[in-house]
Amino acid sequence: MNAISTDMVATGAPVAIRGLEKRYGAVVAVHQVDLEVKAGEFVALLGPSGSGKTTILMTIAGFETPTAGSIGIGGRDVTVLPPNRRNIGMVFQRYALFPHMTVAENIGFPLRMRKIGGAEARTRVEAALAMVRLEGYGDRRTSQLSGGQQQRVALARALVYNPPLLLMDEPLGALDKNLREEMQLEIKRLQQRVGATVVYVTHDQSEALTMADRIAVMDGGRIQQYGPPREIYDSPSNAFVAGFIGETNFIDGHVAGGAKPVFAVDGSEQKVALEASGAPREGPSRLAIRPELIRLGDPAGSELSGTVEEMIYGGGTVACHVRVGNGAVVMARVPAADAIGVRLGDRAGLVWQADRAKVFPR
Amino acid sequence: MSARADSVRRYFFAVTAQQYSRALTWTLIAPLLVLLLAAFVWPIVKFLSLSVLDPSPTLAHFAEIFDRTFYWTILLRTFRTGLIVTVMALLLGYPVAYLMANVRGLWAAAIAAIVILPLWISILVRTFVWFIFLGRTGLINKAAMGLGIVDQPMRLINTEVAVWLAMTQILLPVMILPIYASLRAIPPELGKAAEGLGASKAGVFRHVILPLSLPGVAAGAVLVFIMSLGFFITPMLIGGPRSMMIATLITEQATKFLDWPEAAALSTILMVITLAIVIVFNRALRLDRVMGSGA
Ligand SMILES: Nc1ncnc2c1ncn2[C@@H]1O[C@H](COP(=O)(O)OP(=O)(O)OP(=O)(O)O)[C@@H](O)[C@H]1O
Ligand SMILES: [Mg+2]
Repeated sequence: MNAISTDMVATGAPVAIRGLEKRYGAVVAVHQVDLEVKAGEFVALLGPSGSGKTTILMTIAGFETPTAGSIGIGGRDVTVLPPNRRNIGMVFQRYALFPHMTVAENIGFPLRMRKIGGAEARTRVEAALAMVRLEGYGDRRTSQLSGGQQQRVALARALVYNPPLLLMDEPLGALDKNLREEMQLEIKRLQQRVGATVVYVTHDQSEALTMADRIAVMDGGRIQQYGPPREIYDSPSNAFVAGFIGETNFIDGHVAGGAKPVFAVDGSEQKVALEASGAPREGPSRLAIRPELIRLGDPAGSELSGTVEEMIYGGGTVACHVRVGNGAVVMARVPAADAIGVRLGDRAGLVWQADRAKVFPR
Repeated sequence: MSARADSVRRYFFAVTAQQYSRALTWTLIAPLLVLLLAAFVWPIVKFLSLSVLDPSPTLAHFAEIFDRTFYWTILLRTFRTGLIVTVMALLLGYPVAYLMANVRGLWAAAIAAIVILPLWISILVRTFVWFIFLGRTGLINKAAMGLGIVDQPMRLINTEVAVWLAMTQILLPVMILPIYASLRAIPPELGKAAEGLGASKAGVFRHVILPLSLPGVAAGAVLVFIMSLGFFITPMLIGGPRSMMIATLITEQATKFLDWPEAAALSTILMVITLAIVIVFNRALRLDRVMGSGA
């Protein structure tokens, strides 16, 4: 028996996508996408429905042929290689377990396809079952498992042959919230243990923020921003990313003034000073500020103020909706203690650190 | 509404939103059940009982059958034909069903039409079509003579091979449709998963598609086999007297020789053997499914 057969240490393969384009007739599903994934990195493709996440994953897997561009896995150009020759592991949203095989036969399937049999296959299947904490379930039929267990089997099946690259398309989409959070940690733990590179498709931002080393935010077939979760959250590079990740207030207005730029809110007389270093362009723009970065202040001393329209109690925090102009309602999420004494109809000032607000052209 | 009316309703109508009460179920089934019993089960029992009750309780009719090798030849030929037709229909039908399940749009419609349209044409017509091909002056003989391959017309009609061909053609849709249905029921991501896990296209078919389509294959095979055992018009017209099958024999016993007890005895034997084969087949298949595709 092979000495390395039982330990599950694989080294991840880097992935390089260059100029990827995929059309279906007139529909352009993916536009000119470039994406580099480092060896052993966990990258999430995050975006709304129809943004092209699955299409990118399927071209990496080899189920779709790109209209243009190239795919590299582990330094090798695989653009025209069929899926079974790419040595990838795949996990699908609906598990895709083979109903005519037992749990152990399912997990052993990739080994069988690689002509690994006998004692070695058995040991590896056992190790994979242990890895997803399903010891003793090998002889069960897959229909006798819960959703979470089925997904763990799918995971074990994808990891049993130590693939350097693991592709997952919304693998937790069919699970309920608690189980999903548990599985997020489990997948992350396994990935760190086996060292595989992971490309993970999701439209759940908290999942992406929790699990990924880097997130590629997608919209309309393009990557809108690619970076670590913190960077995506704190410095969104455009209004789409700011609005898609987390909660964001958008205020429409105009940027004016050179050395000391200000933001004039549309439909009101109010102006907010902007951070000069960000050098926002003059003209119609949109200011984005996260609710938890806003404090309530004295209406007289604040640059921006308005009328409290709604207060929604949320345990430790209170969401105050403040109308600052004709169109704009800004939501501030403040500690419950800060909202004591604030009533509906009161005037309230809205205060934030100038460098935390982002201004995007409109 | 009073509590009593409520409990009566509950007893009679629905146990839950998904399930009717037993009383309602049986009430709805009853008319069909009565019709089946009166018009189907009772006459069959009555007819088959002739084989052991006419004129008084006896096994003489069965004994007579066992004595005549002529009957055994026909019975054997019937099952051989059924088996050959089933195998041929499977070999020809599976690829068509596979194609039908895997093409889209106009092609799918065209193939479906080719498969299903013949079902609307009478078996008699579909049988006679074969004369145009296989007759003494049929297409094949004309072509063979025209090309100088033979100088006398070959005897193609009135052979067992001709019966196999015609029956296969007639029963093909019965094989194709259940296989098609089971192929369509396989979730497409299973094939993708297998391929992603390292299976070649052939591997995907062998390890995933084929095993999962076996219930359809079984259904199609059992249907074709049973239907071919009872085939009457086609073997009679195309096979001629020398390729007689059991259905023709039974009819002759009953209508030509007016030997109803003998016809009943033959029918009983046909039925028992058929049932036995179906049961064995079912068993084998279920075992196969429980064991999975194995290594
Ligand atoms: N086979 C196809 N034929 C035609 N259009 C397609 C096909 N597959 C995808 N598309 C289109 O390409 C675009 C991207 O689809 P894709 O499945 O990649 O989105 P997604 O980001 O995975 O969405 P979701 O979150 O809903 O799964 C969509 O507009 C979709 O309609
Ligand atoms: Mg998708």
